[in-house]
Formats: sequence, structure tokens, C-alpha cells
Amino acid sequence: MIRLSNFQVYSMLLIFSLAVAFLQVGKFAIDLLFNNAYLAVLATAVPGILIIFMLNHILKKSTLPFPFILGEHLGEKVGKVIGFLYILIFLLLTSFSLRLFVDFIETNVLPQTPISIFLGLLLLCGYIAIKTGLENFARMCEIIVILGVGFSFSIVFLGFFQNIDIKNLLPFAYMNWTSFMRAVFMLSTEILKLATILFLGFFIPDKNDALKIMIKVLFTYIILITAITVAAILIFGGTTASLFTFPTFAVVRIINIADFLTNLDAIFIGLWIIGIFGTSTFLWFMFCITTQYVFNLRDYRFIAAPSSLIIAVLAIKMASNILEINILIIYIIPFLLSIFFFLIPFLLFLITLFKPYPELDQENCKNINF
Amino acid sequence: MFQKKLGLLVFILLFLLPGCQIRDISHTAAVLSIGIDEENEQIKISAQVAKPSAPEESGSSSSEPQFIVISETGKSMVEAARKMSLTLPRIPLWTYTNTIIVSEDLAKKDISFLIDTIARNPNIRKNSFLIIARKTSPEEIMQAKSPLEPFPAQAIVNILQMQEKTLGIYTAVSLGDFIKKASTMGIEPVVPQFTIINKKGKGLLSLEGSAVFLGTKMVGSFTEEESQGYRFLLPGLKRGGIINVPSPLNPQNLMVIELLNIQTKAKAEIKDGKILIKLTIDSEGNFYEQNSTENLLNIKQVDNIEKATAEELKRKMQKSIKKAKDLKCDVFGWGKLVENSSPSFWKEIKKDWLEIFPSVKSEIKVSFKLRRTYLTDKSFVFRK
Amino acid sequence: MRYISKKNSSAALTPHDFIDDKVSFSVRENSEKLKKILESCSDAVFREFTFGTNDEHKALVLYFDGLTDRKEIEENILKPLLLEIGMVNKPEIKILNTSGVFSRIKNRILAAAEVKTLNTLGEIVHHISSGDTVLLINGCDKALSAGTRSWQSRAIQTPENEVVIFGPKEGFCETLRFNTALLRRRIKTGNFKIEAMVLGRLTKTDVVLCYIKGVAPDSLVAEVKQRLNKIDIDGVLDSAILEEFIVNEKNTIFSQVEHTEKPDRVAANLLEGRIAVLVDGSPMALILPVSFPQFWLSPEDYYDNYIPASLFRFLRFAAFWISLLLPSLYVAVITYHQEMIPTALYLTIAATRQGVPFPAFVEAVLLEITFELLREAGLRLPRAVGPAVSIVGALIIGDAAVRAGLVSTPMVVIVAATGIASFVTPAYNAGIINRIARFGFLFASSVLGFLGIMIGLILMLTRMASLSSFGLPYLSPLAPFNREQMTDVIVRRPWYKNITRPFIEGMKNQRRQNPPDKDKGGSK
Repeated sequence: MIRLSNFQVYSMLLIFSLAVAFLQVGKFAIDLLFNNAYLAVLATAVPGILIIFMLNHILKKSTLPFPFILGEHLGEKVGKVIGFLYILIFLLLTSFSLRLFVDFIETNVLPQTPISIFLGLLLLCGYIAIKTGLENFARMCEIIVILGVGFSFSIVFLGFFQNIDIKNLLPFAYMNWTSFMRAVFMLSTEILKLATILFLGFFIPDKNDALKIMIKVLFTYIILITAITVAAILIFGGTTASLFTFPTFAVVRIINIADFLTNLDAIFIGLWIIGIFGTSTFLWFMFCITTQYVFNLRDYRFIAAPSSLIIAVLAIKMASNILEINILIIYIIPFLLSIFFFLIPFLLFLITLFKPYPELDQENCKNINF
Repeated sequence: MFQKKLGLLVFILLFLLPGCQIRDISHTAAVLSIGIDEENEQIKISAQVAKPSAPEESGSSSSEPQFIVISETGKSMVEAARKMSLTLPRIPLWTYTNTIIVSEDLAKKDISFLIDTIARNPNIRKNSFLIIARKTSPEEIMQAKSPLEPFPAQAIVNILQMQEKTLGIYTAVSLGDFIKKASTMGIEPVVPQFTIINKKGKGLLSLEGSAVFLGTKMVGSFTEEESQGYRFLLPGLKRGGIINVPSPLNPQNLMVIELLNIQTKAKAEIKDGKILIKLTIDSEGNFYEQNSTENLLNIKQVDNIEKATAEELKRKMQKSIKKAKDLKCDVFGWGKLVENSSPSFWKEIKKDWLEIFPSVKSEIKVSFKLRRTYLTDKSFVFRK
Repeated sequence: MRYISKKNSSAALTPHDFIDDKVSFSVRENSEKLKKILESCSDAVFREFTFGTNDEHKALVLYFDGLTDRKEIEENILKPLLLEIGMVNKPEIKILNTSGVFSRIKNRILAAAEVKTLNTLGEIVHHISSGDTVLLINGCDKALSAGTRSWQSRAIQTPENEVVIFGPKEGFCETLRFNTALLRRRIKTGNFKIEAMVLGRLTKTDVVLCYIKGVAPDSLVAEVKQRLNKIDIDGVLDSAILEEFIVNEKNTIFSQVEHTEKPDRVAANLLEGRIAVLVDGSPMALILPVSFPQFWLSPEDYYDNYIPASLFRFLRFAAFWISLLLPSLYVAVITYHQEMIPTALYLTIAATRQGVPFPAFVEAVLLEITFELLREAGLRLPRAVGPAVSIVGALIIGDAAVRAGLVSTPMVVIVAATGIASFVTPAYNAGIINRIARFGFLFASSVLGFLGIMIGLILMLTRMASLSSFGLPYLSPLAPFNREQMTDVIVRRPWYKNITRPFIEGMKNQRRQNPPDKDKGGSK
């Protein structure tokens, strides 16, 4: 039986939802809404809170953690079929986050090194982390969050000291409702990743804290993404910011402290690597757990080694260039996320709506061996 | 144990990878300045490459320049830049570039290709300065020896930054600013120009005028006075600079005012489809010099001094506005002001903005406050 | 370690045949057997004599020369038996018949402070080896042992390896009793337990387990006791030998036990609910469980004003990162990320690197190894030659290498700075972690630059997160994060705010002081 503290669950959820988003989400919003991108980010709080309450409801009415939750509410057979789909999704998402990372490094830092090396190294780290178990991974996530969130805030803070123009914020100048709704939708898909609370929520001392944790994650998420979006808009203006492949990174590059600390990007990339490592490892971990459930395996650890090969190949073959990856980011991944992290939990929500609250709460999952 | 062996294996394999060590510092050369010019319908890139030298050596061999300039031509910028590998035995590091010099001829054609290359290229820092070579080529500017500074590129940066504090005429523009202004409708970039002047047979670098761009195309140039007016007109807080003001008692005489702060606020007002730009400039400064012996500094004259200074400031600004209007080039960002105050109106007139701009009316309110007079608080009135 | 022999070799020792024999009634028989056991033990002293008015009692006094206080034997054992019996107990001489003689001597005649009854020859040997004196009397099947331990020992001195400016300067010595006394003097409560056990089949070393009952978790005490009892080895010569047996994870460079020579440090840890293991013959105490951040906290911090102490702590954390990462960061920067350094610095470094025949990585490794060699040599050198060698090493080799163009000057600076930073570590064994890991990071950075360093850090973190020292996660209180305890790691919390003890699994009594009254308030 795993025991996680509230802060550990917070850290894991935050890394999982924020690490990729920090680099990408501002980009969607700025592409669609230019100077008003930050409004869409702020507006995400509304769907975010709805999602959180839905998840909390499911959590309260269930007795088993995530992959088992499918069987509990949908019946054993249906649960396994859907579980199988989840396996594929987790596999895809793991490969995707790795690929995104690799492309980022290739564009910005070390263009000449073959991508297989990065994949290999990150997979090695992830593999070791999975081998040592969820509890150790949770501890690492804590450290990552303490370092990463602090650093991200300081980037934004320093960004505000650059040559900024407050008028760039231009309230409601580019408000186009279609784009606005699209931006909110895209941003919300990242928040859907909070659905992993259905797995993690069962290991905290008190399941009722899950709501508080999720809300904290949501607000950290919104504050950070808003801040970085605002920083990018203030520094570059909407039109110019939308030109950049990675607006966040552009902000980091422009930071200049007293003409000495000029090129902070390497430090940023360094921390971001750790964040991506957290995300991909967590997804990979979920993949292993779901596989264990679907095929009734005794342990999940041994799946890690063979699946690393699949993940690596998938990551390389998934897209041939950055434009294809952009299509993945903008259309395919949000679509998949909204099906598997929204529709299926929503289905569970509808089912559990009429179920009574379970009596034995945390007893059941003690029998499950992670 | 297995994981450790695997890790070891991966590391050993990595070490055997060829080509990993190519970027070692001893295989690189720092490019301090990039020059872009045109030659025979091709793009000519010049690079000022610093010679690595130990600190103790630099003093003794001052007769020899610390840098070399190499140039290559090619059909595209990147081709020309990469062709340097044919002559340079090291990998050029473009990240140390702090100035990008564009020739006037090229700027007058169009430099949009430059913006694309530079914005895309991760190696070029967007906070390096952009300047235009006036009446000379970038290559010559790079080769000009500047006193005291070993590298002309550094000299250019220093001159740009120092003059703003002491003299307050030109406004330095970074690549990032340039890209931002060139790609945004309603504001146009102004770039300082450097030239080489001959003093006692020596070619010296000097700032002279600033180039006015329409998008990515240079359309004209500001003189010193106009550049100063442009600086005052830019929204925001500026520090430093001096201004010659005719004395309120006798306009033949001059007094010099040192400007401490110039705070410019700009706002667009739209009434019945007519645009009025309201500019409020609050400035303060110190009395620094007077070239006559008239009794200027007494409490009665302070008001007049302030008014005269404000007038002078206003005159410079108006001169600058007039030039900009003549060039049909909205360098002050008035289009953006309109956009800020009424986005919908801006959408309507956006297309014709360049036509509308010369007819836009502006209202300038300047206030100047005299603060201190340094070590003497009275005018010298000799042997009265 | 040649001293620790394999199991089966002890079977060859013949005297051990008698070792389990009971003490017989005949002194002669006992004496013969013991002489056989202690054959070729030139330091064993057998003193046979008779006492009683008619010399009717034969007796034997047995001790090891050098371990005992001879004066005490004469005063408290021989004198009463030989002389004072005759003087004091004249009317009662008759009572000293064979049957009552044993208890009579034990209770009334022997003037030693500590007297024990022994039954087997093995016990006798053990006692005399520990410095006691054993008295055998004809006709009694028991032996008496009197505590006469006294031997030449190092005096209590200032520990050489843990030098402090503030605070107590006493250090442990090699004698267990002195060490426990140093602790007992600091913690004057009956709850301070010093549980003894004997480990080592040949050395029979005394090992004690110190803890404060009610503060240290019982489960932890039981666990440590059980792990210690499992050890079956012929000799325990130093506490470090025990460490390898009792830690959770053996194959790692991360030390999971703290070593210290300072009784005040041990006492401070005992008050935090930890356990100390002391071994006779070793001046080093083991403290467990420990977590990694603890190695970076010097005991001295707690004796200094908390504001400077907190600042020093920041300095020490900076030193940690410098000694771990500086060379690898430098190699990464000049090999892959030259854009990170300012132009002027780039030009200087590029100039000094010109003509250096090695890649930066090789240069760094060469210098680091040289530094490690110098350091290792400095430890072993006789005092008189030490300074000479360090001058040769530091000045001449460094300078000559730079002049010959073998290495570049900045690299010498970097390695020297790293070396200095590595001496800042308060705990020596934590410094070793950095010394080893540094090379790994150097390698990683030379292969993949900054990325390699980050991957190295991830691997190191994973390893550290997976360790635990007796149930205490190795990275606590950083992970699992605990805000209250973390404040005492980042800064040195003022004493009046140190209200709780750091949490150790199973701890019941976490409060160490009552919070100061709010209305009075320490902050006023």
C-alpha cells in the first residue's frame, strides 16, 4: 500500500499538467487571441472548477483507484476494454511528451545530436524511477516542484523588469468569441490531466482533501500560465509573440540582469528537462499500471523495460517535422484528451451520480498491490 | 544491478559517439558584429571576429587590431554566413554579436529577409543593437579603429548607451524592438546611423542621424534635432540629455539645461472620426551653463526659464513630427494609440493609416521644472 | 582487512576445548586448565598463595598485566586476604571454613567496588581480558572477579577532524566507559539508556546503544538492536564495521549513518530522538537514522547566533553545489554553451585555452585526479614533510602545468575553488559523496553538456529518493516535504522557535519545549 502526502499529490498533479503547458499553452492562446490571450487563460478557471467538482464527486463515490475504477462502475468486461484503450492513450501521450521535449532541445540547444540519444537518456531515467516505485517518484516530484515553480515565477518576475509596454494588454481589442472559445477549450484540455487524481486521490491520508489539492493545482496553473502569457505579451506585443515557436522561451532569452546574467536559457532548459522527465515518467507509470490491470498481472515494474522500446519508436515515428507536431498539439492531442480525460470520467460521473456513497472507504484499495 | 549496468553501457556508448566534441571553445571564434550589405545583387555578410588574446598580451600589442573582419557573399544570408567556413578555420559563434550593421543602400531597398533570418535564428540574441551604416559600408565601420575600445562593436554599443545619458539625442534600438515595431501596424522603427568621420587623417566612428523605416524599408532620416525630438516624443520615462535654450532675457544668448527626467504620456482621442493625439510631457532638469553675464538666476526668472525650455522642447518635437509626417511614417506609434483607445475604429482605418497619419492633429503640452543649479546659485555678474 | 578471518579458521584453536568447562573445586586443576588456555600469553599473571591462620586456603589470583591497576589488586584483594583476615577477624577465624569461605570473602573481605561471581573458565578469560582480576579459591566451584580495570588510554582531547570555534571541544577517546561518561554527564536522566551488548566472536567488543527512552521511537530501538544482534563476526575493531552491517542499502556511496567524535553532537542527536552506537576501542560514534540534508548542518550552527549561523548555512549549501557541479558546469559551458558566458570572459578563456592539447574534459579530469592525489598524500604524509609536498603540489605543479601549456589557467582556478568548497562540508563522509559524484557529472557534461548534468542530477535524485536510513527517507525533510522542519534546514531556526523535534517514524513525543507565551512573546 502506497502512502502519499497531500503535497506529493499536489506536486505530481502540477508537474503533470504544467510542465508541457508552460511551454505550449501560452502559444495556443497567443496564436488565437493575440493581445488578449491572457483572458482566455483566466477564463479557464471556470471549466477547470467544473472539472474538479466532477472528479471529486467520482472520487468520493468510488472505492478503488483509477484503472480499477472502470471495472467498479462499468462492469469488469467493459472496464477492461476501456482500460485497453487507456493503455494506448498513455503510450501515445508518453511518446508525445518526450517527442515535444526532444524537438524543443533540437531547436534550441544542441541541434546536432541525434534524437535517439535524448530519448534513450530520458527513458533510462524514467525506467529507473518506475523501478524504484511510485513513492520515490513522488518524492522527486516534490523536489522538482519546489525548484521548478520557484524558478518559473522568478523568470516571469524578471521578465516584468525588461522593456515592457503595459498598453500591449489591450483589453477586449481582439476578442473574437469563436477564437476565445477555442482557446479556452484548448487550455482546458490541459487541465483535464487533473483526472489522474482518480488514481492518486486514493493514496492520500484523507480522500476529502483531494478537492483542496486540485483547486490549489488549478490556481497555481492559472497563475503561472497567465503570468508567462502576460509577460510575453508585455514584452513582445501580441503580433510578434505569435510569431515565436516558443513564446515562453523567447521571454527567457530576452532576460538580462545587469548585463551579466544574460543567457539564462540553459538554466531554464535544465529545469524544464526535469519537468518533462516528471510528466513522461508519470504517464509511463500510468501506462504500466493500466496494463497491469487489464492483463491481471502481478507486478507492473517489468513492463517498463519492454515498453520503453515501443515508446521510443513511437516518439520517433509519430511525426516527421515540427509542423506535423503542431497539428498534433492543436488538433489530435486535445481531441484525445477530451475523450479520455473528459468524456469517460463524465460517463463515470453520470453513473456515480445515482450511486450511494461507499461505506468502506480506503479498506478496499489496500488489497491492490502497486 | 541491471539498471546500473544498463546506465553504464548507455554512458559508454554516448562517449563513443563521434562529433560530440566539435564545439569545444578552442574550436570557436566569437563574432562581435555582423554587417549586412549588398554586392553585385548578392548579399554580403561581414563578420568582426575577435582574436582570443590573453589579458597580459592585450596591452603590449595595441598597434595590431584585436579582431579581423571577414566578408563573404552569397545568394542568401545564411549561405553567405556559412561560406565563412571556407576561410575561417574555426566555428563562428554568433551569439556574442552585439551589433548588427546594415548598409544604407540595402536598408533603402528592403530588409524583410533580414528580419526573418534573425528572428528564426536561435544563435542571434534579440537584444543586440541594430544600426545603419551611413555613407559608408558596414565593413568599413567594422574596421574603423575606435579609441580606447579594442573592438569597434563594443565601441558602438558604448557610444549608443553613453550618449543617451550624457547628450540625449539618439535612441538605441535592439533587434527585438526593431522586429516588434516592423511587424506591428501603427508603429515604425527608427534606427541610429553610424558613419566614419575623418579627424586628423584618422577614421573615427561617429553617430550621425537616425534612419526612419517604413516597415522594413528605410524611407528617410532624422537629423540630430529631429532625433532628439523623436526621443522626447517616445512614450515612457527617459533620463539624461542636455538642451540649448535661448535665454528668456535676450534670445541671442544661450543657456544650457540638463534634463533629468522626461516623462511622456500619449493618448489618442477620437471624436466624430477625427483623431487628436494628446501628448503630455513632464520634464525636470538642472541649470548647467549660461554664456552671458545677465542675471538669469533669480526667483523671478525661474518661470521664464522654465517656459523657454518647454518651448524649446516643443519646437524640437514639432520639427520631428513634421519630418515624420512628410515621410508618411508613423514612428511615434500613434496608430497604436488609436488602437488602444478604440480598437473598432482602428480596424476600420488600419488599411489607410499611412494616408491618414500626415493629417492627424496633435496637441503637445510641455511642462518643465527647474530643480537645481549645481555649485553656484547665482549668475556671475562681473564687477558691477 | 586481514583481521577478520573466515568462519572455519577458529576451529584450530585447541585451548578452546576447556573454554566452556565449569570452574572445578580444585585450584590446581583450574590453574592448569587456565594456563593451557592462556599458553604463550606472556602478559597473564598467575599469583598463587595461601591464606587463613593455618594457611588452609589455597588461592589463585589471575589478571593480565597492563590492563589492571596493580595497586588496586594489592590494596583491595591481596592485602585483605593475606593480612587483614588475621587482624580483624581473629575470633571468627573458625568461620572461614571451606563452605562459608566464598560468600564471606565476597561479601566482607574483598574491598573492590565491583565484584562478580563467575562460573566457567570462559567467563574468567573474558573478565581478565577486560581488565578484571579473578580470584580462585580451593574448594569453591566458583570464581570471584573484581573490577580493577585500568589501562593507559588517550586522554580526552579536542577532536582533530571536527574542529569548531564555538561550543564544547571535548572529543571521544578509545575507551568506551569514558565515552559513555561524557554522554551521561550531558544527559542526566534515568531515561537516558545505555544498553550494552558484546559483539565479535574473538574480540568480544563491548558495544553500547544509547538512546533516550520516550524520545527515541521504541520500534527504532528494537530494529537497531535486532540488526546489531544479527551480526556474527570475529572482530569489531571500529564502529564503521557495524555501519555496513546495519544500514538498509549497502551498495551505495550515500552514507546512511553519521559519524562523529563529539559528545555534544551525539547528545544533540539523542535529544532529537536518534540513536547512537558506540563501540569500545573506537572514538567514532554512529548516529542513526540520518537524512542527507543533515550532513550539511554543522553542530556549531546551534551554538552561534542564529542570523550569522543561517548565513553560514547558505554559504555551505553554495559550497555543496560548487563542490559537486562547478567543474562539470565549466566543462559544459566551454564545450557546448559558450553563449552563457559574457564576451570578455569568453575571450579570456578562449585565449588561455589556445594551445592546450587536451579537450576540456580530459584537462578537468587530470587536474581533479592530481588534486585528489595531493589530498590523499597529504593525509598520509608525516607531519614534517606535509607542507613541503602541498607547496610542491599546489604551486609548482599547478604553475608549471600552466606554463608548459598542459592545462589552462581558468581550469586550475576552477579545480582549486572546487577543492576549497569541498572542505566546507561539516561531515567528512558527505564530502566523499561529492568527490565521487563530481567525476560522474564531469563525464556527463562532457558528453551532453548541460543536458547531461541535468540527467545526472535526475539519476542522483532518483537514487537518493529511493534510499532510507532506518525508515527515515534519505531526502527528508525536503522529500517528503515538511515545511516546519525544512525551515530548520534552510536557515538555522532560533532556539525559542525550535518547538518540535524532527519527525522520525514511530516517534510519540515530538514536542521539545512549550511554545513561549504569546502575550510575552520572544519577538518583542
